[in-house]
Amino acid sequence: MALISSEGLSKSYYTRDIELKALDGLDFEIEPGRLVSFVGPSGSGKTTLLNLIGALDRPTAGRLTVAGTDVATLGRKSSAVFRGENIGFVFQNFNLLPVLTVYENVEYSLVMVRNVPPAERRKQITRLLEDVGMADQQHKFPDQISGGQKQRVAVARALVTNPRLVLADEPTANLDSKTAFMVIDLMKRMKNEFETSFLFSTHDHKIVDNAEIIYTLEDGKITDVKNAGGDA
Amino acid sequence: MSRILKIAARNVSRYRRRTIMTSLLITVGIVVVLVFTSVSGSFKSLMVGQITDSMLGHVQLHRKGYVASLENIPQHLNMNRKEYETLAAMLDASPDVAAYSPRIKLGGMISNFDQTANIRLNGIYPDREAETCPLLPSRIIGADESGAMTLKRGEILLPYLIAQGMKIEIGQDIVIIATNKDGSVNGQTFTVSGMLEQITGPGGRDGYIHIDDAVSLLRMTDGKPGKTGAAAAASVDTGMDEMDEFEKELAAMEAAESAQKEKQKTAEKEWTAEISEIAVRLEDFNKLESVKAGFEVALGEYVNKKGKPVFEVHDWEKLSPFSNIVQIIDVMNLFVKIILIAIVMISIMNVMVTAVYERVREIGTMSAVGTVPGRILGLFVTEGLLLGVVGVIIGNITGAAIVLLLNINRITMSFGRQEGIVLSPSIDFSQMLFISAVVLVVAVFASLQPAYKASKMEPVDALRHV
Repeated sequence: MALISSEGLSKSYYTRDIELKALDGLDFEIEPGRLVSFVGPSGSGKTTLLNLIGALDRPTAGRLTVAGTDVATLGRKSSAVFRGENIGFVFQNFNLLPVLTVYENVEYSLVMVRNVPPAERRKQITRLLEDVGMADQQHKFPDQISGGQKQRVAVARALVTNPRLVLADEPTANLDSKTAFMVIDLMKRMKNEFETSFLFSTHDHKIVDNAEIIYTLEDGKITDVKNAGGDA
Repeated sequence: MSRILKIAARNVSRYRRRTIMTSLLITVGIVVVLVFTSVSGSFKSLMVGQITDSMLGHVQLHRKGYVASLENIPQHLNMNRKEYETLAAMLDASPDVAAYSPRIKLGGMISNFDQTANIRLNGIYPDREAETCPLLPSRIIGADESGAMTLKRGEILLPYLIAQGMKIEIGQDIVIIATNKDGSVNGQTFTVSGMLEQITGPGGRDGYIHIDDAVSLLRMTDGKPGKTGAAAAASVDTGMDEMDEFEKELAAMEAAESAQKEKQKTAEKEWTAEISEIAVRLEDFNKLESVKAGFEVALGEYVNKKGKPVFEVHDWEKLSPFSNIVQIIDVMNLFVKIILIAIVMISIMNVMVTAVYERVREIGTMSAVGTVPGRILGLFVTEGLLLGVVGVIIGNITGAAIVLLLNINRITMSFGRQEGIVLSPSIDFSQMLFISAVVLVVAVFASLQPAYKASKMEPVDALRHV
């Protein structure tokens, strides 16, 4: 069964009476455990698509099923619960909570969303922080670590709830090449280890080169699909 | 919950300057309220104490309509013996009554054999009056050094202003001429034993004589003369020479100190005086409302033939114009509290609106990773509450410290002839709790709107926010 299934997915924005179609009738399916990249020029609809898949936004038309749930029908609270249970996010600007330490940022979802018991929490977080190489920095606050380290923490935060899907919007845009490769490598390892699907919206060829499936978007439409296989 | 509290606490400490400023504002507000309420409360209780303990008592009982005609001293509205006994029985049975003093009020003329003037007098039992109004002896100029209330038969305590105006000295004889309710005029000689400092309110410019002198002066009989009443009537008939008989009789009664009160009550039952009012002192002034209500209920069953109540109950507030000042103080207290509420409301709302605006992306992130709207609302409300808590803690400590300093440095004031009255501001713990609760409730209330706004943000818009 497909992890993500989209039929005639459309999203329009309205400025006064003018309709701007960000996505226009997308049909696609993504199987679980894949590294998928959405590429295309700015304004092509990559981020909008990720927002819809992540239940952060609602489609204007069409049907979108993620992990067996029609995300278009979810309300504000149920979409939050859905995200907490099924989806991890990695943002371009890291979006770590500044008042929490590295450890607490990773822990956040387990406490505030999942309510996991402390002992299990600690075990899970420690393992993840070791996996992303941030165990020795766990007591630091986000403003005390580098951009690359922040993104590694963000990856750990995205994976800590064992989501079926991680959405990463331009995850390497604010990183230097070396750090970007490190983060990509990390995500690939995590994908293999946890069998989590990773969906990227990116311009970065470093990510594209590693993706198994590459969707090219232009003017809100899928213009090309490459099943590259990647080197994952 | 503990995690929300932890994140909220860190967010509050994150904007240190803003938190300090807000807490400082709340602190100042609480300090002003605490100091103002404690000082004004001290002033109020002092003044109320002065008025009730010097003249009025806490509660007064009259026949219906007496107070409305108080200025005329309506003798026809005095209580007869049976009515007085009804009230006395109720007061004796009440555990809330510390003391009560029956009074005969009368108006008359005073003459020093040179000039005459109008005078209002209270016929009292000196010891019972002193028990009911313990500060009365302190109003007496030329009082006994022991501070005891001494007023023997044949003696009069004159209002200071009358004595001064008529150039009457202590120890001098004067004559009081009074008309009773039947229109019969009588005169009696008194020796001035002291002068009374005037005090605001009804009766504040009255003189005092012994109640038995009032009985004889007004020739009180109710057609069923008792022993003392008969003697009083005899004293009127035979003139002042017969007074010695009375004094001997009274002295004999007073000799038995252990049974003094009982005997006095027995004497009251025997004489035929008509009582104008009964001043009552309560064990606990704070129970005034409930005790008064109890009296009203108990006396409500006594009605005349027309079904109208026979008695009326008044607390000091209804009798003294100073109650208006007390009301003004209460209103000022209320306004100070409203100002505090406004300060807390505006400062916390301002901080929380700013906090939400500055943290839109954080809100988006929290929402994206699965935080439900209720938790986001809870987080921001907790932050507002914490600001209030900080202000409450610092404000209460500072307020208490200032009140303590005021007590150490002693604020003194004068009231009438009483100088150097020390104001002792004290903070009522319940008041402190009340103010703290108000601040915290307002803090939560002020945070609700920004918190609600935060919880309702669309995550996609919040994450896009720059």
